[in-house]
Amino acid sequence: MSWDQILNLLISALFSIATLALISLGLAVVFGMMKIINLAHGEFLMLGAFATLTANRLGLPLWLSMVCAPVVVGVIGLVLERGIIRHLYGRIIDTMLATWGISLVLVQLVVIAYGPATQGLATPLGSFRLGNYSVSAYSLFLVAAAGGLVVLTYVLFMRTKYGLMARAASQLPQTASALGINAGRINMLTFAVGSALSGAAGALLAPVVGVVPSMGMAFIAKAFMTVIVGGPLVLSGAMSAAALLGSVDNVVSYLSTPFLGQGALLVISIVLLRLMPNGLSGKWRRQL
Amino acid sequence: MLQVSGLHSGYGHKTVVNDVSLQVGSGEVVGLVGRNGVGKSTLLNTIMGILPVQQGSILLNEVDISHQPSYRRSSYGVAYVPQGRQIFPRLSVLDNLRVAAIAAKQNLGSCVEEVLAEFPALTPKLQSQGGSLSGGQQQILALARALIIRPKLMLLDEPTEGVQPSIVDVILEKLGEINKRLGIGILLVEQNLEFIDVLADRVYVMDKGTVVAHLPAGAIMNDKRVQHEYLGV
Repeated sequence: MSWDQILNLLISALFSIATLALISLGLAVVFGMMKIINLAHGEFLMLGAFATLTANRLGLPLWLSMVCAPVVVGVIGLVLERGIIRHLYGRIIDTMLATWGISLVLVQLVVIAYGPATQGLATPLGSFRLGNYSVSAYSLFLVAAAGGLVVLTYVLFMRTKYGLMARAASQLPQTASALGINAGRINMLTFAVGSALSGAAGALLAPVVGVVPSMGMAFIAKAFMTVIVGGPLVLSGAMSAAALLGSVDNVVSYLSTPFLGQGALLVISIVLLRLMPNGLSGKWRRQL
Repeated sequence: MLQVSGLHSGYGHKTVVNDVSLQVGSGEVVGLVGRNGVGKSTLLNTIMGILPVQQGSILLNEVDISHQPSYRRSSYGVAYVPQGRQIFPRLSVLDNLRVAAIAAKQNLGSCVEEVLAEFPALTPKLQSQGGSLSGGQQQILALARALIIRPKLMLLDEPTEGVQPSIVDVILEKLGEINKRLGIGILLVEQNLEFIDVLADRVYVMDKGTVVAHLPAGAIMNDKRVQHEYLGV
C-alpha cells in the first residue's frame, strides 16, 4: 500500500466513524439518560437536514443554516416531549408506538411541504488532491464537527449543574426527586438536548446525503445498533461503538463492496452482543 | 414539626399504610419499629411524596404537604436517607454531595465544606465512584448528603442495615451529634433496638400497616411482650 492509499483509507474510516457518531449521538442521550426508545430519531435527523435546506433557500449562508437546524429540531423535540412523550414515561411499549406514530406524521408533513423527491444541497469546500486521490474537504470538516459535538455533549453533562442533575435523575429518579430535583423539567431539557443534537447531525449530513423525507429510515437501524452495542455509558459507550463499527464497515467495504461492509457491521454487532450482552461499556467504570 | 394524621397509602389501589397518625416534635428523635413488611418504609416514602397519599394528611411546620410533588418537599426542611442508602452509583462522592446542594439551591462550596468537616472520613474518597464504597461508607455519605440541604427533620430508614459494627458506632455517635448540636429532629426506622434505645425519646410500634403501640424508648427494651408480639424477637 502506498502512503496516499493509506491516508485515503484512514480519512474514509474517520468519515464512517464520524457519520455513525453523529447519527447516534442524540439517540444515545435520549435512550441512555431517559430510557426512551425514540423511533422518530431518524426523522429528527431528517428535520435537521430540511431545516438547513429551508434556511439556505431562504437566503441564509449554508453555515448559518446549519446552525439553525439544532435550534429548530430542539424546539420541535421540546414540544413533542411536553405534548406527548412526558405522559408515557415508564411505559416503554407505549412510547415506542407513540414515537413511531410521530415519525410517520413527520415524514408525511415533510412530503406535503416539500414533495417526495430528493432535494440537492451542494457540498461546500470543494476537494484537494492527496497523491492519486481526490479528497472532499467537507468530509474532514464533518469529522471535526462530529468531534466538536461529542466534546460539547461531554461538557454539558459533566461540567454543568444541569448535567449533574440529569445524570443523578437518570440513575435514581426517586432519590433525585427526594433531594429536590424536578425530574419532569430535567427530562424535558434532556429530550430537547437529544433532539437538538440529532438536528445538528442532520444539518451536517445534509450536504453529503440526499435530503429526502424518507432519509430517516436509512439511519435509524445503524443508530440503534451503535447505541445498543455501546451499552449503558451514554457517551464513551456509543462513541466506542461508532469507532469500532465504523472501522469494520470501512475496511470491509474497501476490501470488498459497501454492501458487504454493511453486512459486516450487522454481523459484528450480533457477535458482540452475544459475547457482551450489556454492550461494550457494560463493565466500564466511567461516568458518562 | 411533622404531623401525620389518619394516613392511608400504598401501591396503586392496594393499601399498605392504614390509618397511621404520628408526630415528631422539633428537635426530637422518634423511633419507628415493627417487623419486615408492616409498612414502615411505605410510610416514609409517602411522607417524601414518592408514593401518593390515599387518605389523611401530612403536615410539616403546620403546612399541608400531602399533595406537594416529591421534589418540593425537601424545601420544607425534610431530608430522606432511604433504605439501601441510594447513593448515585456512577457519580463521584463529591458529585453525590454537589448534586444535593444544587438541587437545594444551597451555596455549593461552603455547604460541601461544612459537611466534609462533619464527616472527614469522606475527604480521601471524594473522587471515588459512589458505587465503589462499602455499605458503611455509603451510609455515611447518605447522611452527609442529607445534611447538605440543612434540614430540620431527617427520615432515616434502617441506617445500620448491612453496616459493619465499627461504623454502626460512628453512625450512632454522629446521629446523636446531629440531633443535639444542630437541633435536627429524626424519625428513625430501625431493627436494632439498642440503637433506638440510645437515640430515641419515644417509639411507635407498627404492625400490619398501622400503629399498635406508642411507648417511651426505654420501655421497649424492657417490654418483652411488645417485643415478642410485634417485633418477633
